Amino acid sequence: MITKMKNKFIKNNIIYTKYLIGIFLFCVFLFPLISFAQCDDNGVTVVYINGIFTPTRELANIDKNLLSDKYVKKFGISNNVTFITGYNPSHIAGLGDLIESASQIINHPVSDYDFKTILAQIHLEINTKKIVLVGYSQGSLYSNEIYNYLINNGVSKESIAVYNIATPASYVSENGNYITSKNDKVINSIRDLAIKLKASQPLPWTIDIPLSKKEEKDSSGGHSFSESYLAKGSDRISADIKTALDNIAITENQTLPEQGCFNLPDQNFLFKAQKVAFLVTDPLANGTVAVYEVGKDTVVYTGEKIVSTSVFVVDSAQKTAIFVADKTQEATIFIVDKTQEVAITVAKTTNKIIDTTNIKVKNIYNNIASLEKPIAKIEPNIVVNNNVLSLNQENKKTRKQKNKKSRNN
Amino acid sequence: MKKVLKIIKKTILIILLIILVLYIGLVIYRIPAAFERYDTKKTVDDIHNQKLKMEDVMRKDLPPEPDEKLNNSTLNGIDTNNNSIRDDVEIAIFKLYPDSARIRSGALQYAKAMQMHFRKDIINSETFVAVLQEDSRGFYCFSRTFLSKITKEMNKESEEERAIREKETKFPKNSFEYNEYVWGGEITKKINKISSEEFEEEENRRKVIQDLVFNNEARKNKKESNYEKYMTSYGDLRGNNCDIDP
Repeated sequence: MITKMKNKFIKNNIIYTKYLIGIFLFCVFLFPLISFAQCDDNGVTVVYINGIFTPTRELANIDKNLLSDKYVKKFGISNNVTFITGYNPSHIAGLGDLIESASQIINHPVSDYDFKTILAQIHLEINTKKIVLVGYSQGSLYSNEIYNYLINNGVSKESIAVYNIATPASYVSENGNYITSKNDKVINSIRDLAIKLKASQPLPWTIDIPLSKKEEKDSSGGHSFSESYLAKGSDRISADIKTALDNIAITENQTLPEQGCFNLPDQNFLFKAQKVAFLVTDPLANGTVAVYEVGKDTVVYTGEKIVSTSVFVVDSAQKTAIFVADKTQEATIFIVDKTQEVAITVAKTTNKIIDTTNIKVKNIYNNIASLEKPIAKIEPNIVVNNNVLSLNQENKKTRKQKNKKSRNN
Repeated sequence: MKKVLKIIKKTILIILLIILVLYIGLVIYRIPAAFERYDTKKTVDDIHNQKLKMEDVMRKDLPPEPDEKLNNSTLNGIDTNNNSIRDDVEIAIFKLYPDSARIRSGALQYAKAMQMHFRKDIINSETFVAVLQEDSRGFYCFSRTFLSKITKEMNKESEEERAIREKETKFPKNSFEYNEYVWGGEITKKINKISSEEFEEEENRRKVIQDLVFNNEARKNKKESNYEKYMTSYGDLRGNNCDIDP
């Protein structure tokens, strides 16, 4: 009897074990699999990478649409050419981008967060071996970087081209073509500064796009992708992209990565930490005001709409930098200190001025104050807008009132 | 020996049981995400299936002018004929283009796509990208109803002109002087001039439709908030951009 029960138990056990192994294998094979599109021999993907002075996220999308539309109107509809956005997001209401682009210009990017994010996003979208990267403004610094990454990670040199528009960089990867207007005030400011600092200058202009009356008054006039470059140079841009596209080809010995058309970069701990940090700081920075005093000037950093830059000021040792941007209703400043830590002071605005200071900012003031000569004269085209002036006056007024009160007391 | 085998078997059994329990736990944990993925797929399909119909373009009985206050009290407003185009926008587009069904169809498709920004089921980047893809299709379709003065022949002639000038010039390639010469031919200059003028014309045409759809702060804010939360890199859809061939 006992032996019978024992045998039954063993038999059952074997069945259970079989069941369990079966379930285990079933589970293993049912684990979610991410499918990637094939990397196609036919067709070309044109990746448009926007710049930091694209005032709204919506405009990055519209700019891609306009570029694609102009191309199609000139060369006809082709199902072989797909336009995608390589979306270059803004961080900390634009401050993060200014820092990033400044560091990219001197070829020492402080962070590869956006670079990796763009790569991760376009990895899902690119399904052709042939790629044309079109970078605009700061986006052209990324297109250069992305090109260098891609040719080392699954994309052959012969099947990819770069075309840059309004580029602050001193080169285009693999001697690619570019377009920069003679009247682009942003690029010209960077060029002037680069000459002063004896640093690498942006590439010379290649087109003379006249400024409209509105652009003449604007400190960043002639730099807008849609209003300037596409409005007055779309024919040439489309033709240049077509030439880039015609000059690329697939090589027979091209070894493809296991997934997609190129290998994804590692998303290490630092990347993830930055992601979390931006998740917190990006929304916080919107709709905020910070007030800084730089020498005799008061500069206000207001919310999210950073549209242009007027001046880049870097000290002789290139360790401290001030970037001031303004456009009609907005002005912004950010300061990078010697350790490249970013000083950002954020405070919610309630239509009243809020004095904001923090230790890092004070350190930077000290850095600036300790410089033998002024870092640079703030160019006359920096117009602190009415809002800021009124805030400034209000600030002084409030201080006076406070002083009066305290004296009376 | 038998004992050892028994112990090994037992251990394997326990390990497999633990893995099974963990897997079941993971499955339970992933249920909401799976549902979300299912919902997302449903929403994305629904967004792409919202096509403009011929009857929307050729409609003779337009909806009545809606009460402004009531129409603006919600994001979606009033849409009595349920064609996913707000009544006030639909009426305005018919007034703008009474004689051209071709342009009207482009404008209506563009408006319909932009109206999708007010959908409540835009909950992640995937659903938002679907809206943007339709938005882009509407953009291209409306744009294609614009009759350009630049003909194919002109484009061909300017290319030929540029090719000749490219051979003629001795300036270094990509230099300012080189480009000025190559792009300085009469036909090319003419095309550039027309192109600039038409760019502005088209921008204004699009802006009218955009302003009709996003006619108040709440609607503009909703669109901006979508971009703020969910904007990501994305690609255009392949295939025909117009729901109704213009």
